Order: sequence, then structure tokens, then C-alpha cells
Amino acid sequence: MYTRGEDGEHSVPIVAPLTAAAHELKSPLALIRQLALQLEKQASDDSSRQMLQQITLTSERALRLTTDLTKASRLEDALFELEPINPEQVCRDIVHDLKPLFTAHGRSLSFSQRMHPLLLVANRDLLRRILANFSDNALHYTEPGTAVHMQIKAIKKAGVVRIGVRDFGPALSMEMWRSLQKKISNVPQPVHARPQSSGLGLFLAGQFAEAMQGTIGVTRHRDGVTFYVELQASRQLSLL
Amino acid sequence: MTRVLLVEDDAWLAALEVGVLTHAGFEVTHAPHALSAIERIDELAPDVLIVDVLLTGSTGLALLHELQSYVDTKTVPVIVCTNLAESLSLEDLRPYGVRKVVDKTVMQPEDLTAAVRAVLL
Repeated sequence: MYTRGEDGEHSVPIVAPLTAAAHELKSPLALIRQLALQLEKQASDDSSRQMLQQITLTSERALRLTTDLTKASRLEDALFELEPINPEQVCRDIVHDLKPLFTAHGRSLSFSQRMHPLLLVANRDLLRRILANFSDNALHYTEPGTAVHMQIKAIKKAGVVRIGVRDFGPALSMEMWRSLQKKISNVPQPVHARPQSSGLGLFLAGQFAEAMQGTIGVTRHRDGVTFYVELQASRQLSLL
Repeated sequence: MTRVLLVEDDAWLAALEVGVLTHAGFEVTHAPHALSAIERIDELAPDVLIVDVLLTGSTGLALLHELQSYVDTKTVPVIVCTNLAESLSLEDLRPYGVRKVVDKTVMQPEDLTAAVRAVLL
């Protein structure tokens, strides 16, 4: 990750300070979470309990982002083992992990199970982080009472498996859509998802996908968007 | 009563953990840094050590390395409680006497109590 100089050529690496900042942030966030968890046990009324749960869930969300930041900074140095993975299990884990957060916000998170499972080549941890990022992003831009849905499908011609996270938030304007498309195609520039978002989570998701020779993208709907990751289908697919 | 030495440089988190462990029936002593832990370990003779990795001054791993060089401290079971858990492997830490790694970013307060009971089995 680099900052671009005024002449567009000179750049200054900012990975180290970012990683250091992420590490520094982890301690206070972990402390806030622990304090909230402890207080939640002692809370005597529903309103206090609800607020403490919100503090816990929010700090967990921030911790996920800081962990992603530290992980992204190590992508070039570390070897991430790629293996055939059934993405359904990963989706199931995400739904399990994030359900309390979605419920606390009055939303639901689900995924469609396929009759015939698809296998793709990925690193399980990185894939989980991408989908958690998409889900966090969807949570932020949907209305209470709406659903966020994960879907897995094969794109046979391209030999890839696509996992999408579909939300039912406000439609994107054409201008915002063009800007988003341009930014997604220009990774590693930050991907600004929607107004009021830094797009950091999506930028990191793009980095993780790239580390697995995959891509991320977005599809616009009348009533929301689908953010997706495409990864190479496993050859073991043909054995199923 | 089981004696626990908690090495943690965040005073507020340490107070919280001391409270949880004391409530669970352990006798807990807090050392805010590695040097303090070294100074007090002979007097306390803990049954279990809980050690953070990133401490003010020497790291928790330097402390564990030091403790491995003494006959009487090298056998004390160690629990590492850290924000860096995702970067650490228990197998790599076993030579330092580490029996469990607890991830501070996802742990529940009672996880530390469970970890102490587990390493004493």
C-alpha cells in the first residue's frame, strides 16, 4: 500500500505505520470488549444489556478490521496455503459468527445451500475474511428488517466459483456505480463502496482475493447490490 | 489454593482478569512487566503463569526464555494471553513451556479460568 506523490510517481510506503496502528488499536478494542462482556453479565435491565451487547459487537467488528489490516500487510511475505474448499462451510461459519451482530441490528443473514456442493481453490481464512467484510459492508447499508443473503454459483465458462453477498439497501446512482466499477477495476486503489464509507474493508477484501488469484466485483440491482468474490473452481469438481 | 501469576502490562485489563480469576477461586498476583515477574516468581512459586506477549520493556517471550533456564521455573505451565494469537503457533511455543494460547480479541472472560483449569489437569 502506497501514498502517491503530487507528480504521481514518488510514493512513500505506509504499510508499516498502518500495521503498527492496527496492532496498537487491538489492545484498547480488546479491553473495551472484555469490559463490556463483564458488565453485560451484571446488567440488571434489558436496555443496559442491549447497549453492552452493542458495544461488544461493535468492538468485535473493529477488531476484525484491525486483524485484516495486519494480515494484508503480510500478504507478500507469508505463504497462504491454497486448497480445495467447500465454500458452503465457510458461509455457514460466517452466518453463525455474524448472526448476533445482524440480529442486534434487526437484520438477518442467511445463505442458500446448494443441492450439489461446489469446490473452489482458496485459503480458508482469507476467504472467510472476504465474506465477513462483504457482510459487514452489507450490514451498514441495509435497512432494519431486511435480509442479507449469500449465494454460491459456478460460472462454468470461466472456470470459477462465485460467492455473492446480496443486500437490499438503497440503489446506487449511475454516477456512484461508474465510480465503483472504475475503482474495483483499479485495485489496489481503495474501493469506495458507497457514500460515507472509506471502503477499507473492500480494499482489503480485494487484496485477499488477489492473493488467491481471484477477483472481487459488484453487481447492481434495483434494490441493493451484490458484492462477490470469484475464485478458481477446484478440478475435484469434476469428480463430484 | 492454586497460585496464578498474571503478567500483563495493561492495568485495566489486568484488574479485570484478576477479578475473574479470583472469583473463580484462584490466588492471583499481578506483575505489570517481565522484570517484576522475574523478581517475584521465587517468592510466589506460582502453579500457573499467564503471560501477555507484547509487554512494556522485555517481551513475554523473552521472559519465558529466561524462565526456561531455571530448573524450578521451567516446569511451570504457561498460558499465553495475547492479541497476537493468530500469528503464533502453540507448537512453536511449547519449548517455552506454553500449554495454551488464548486470543484476547475473541476470548470470553471465563476462557481464562477454563485455560488455567485445563493446564492443571
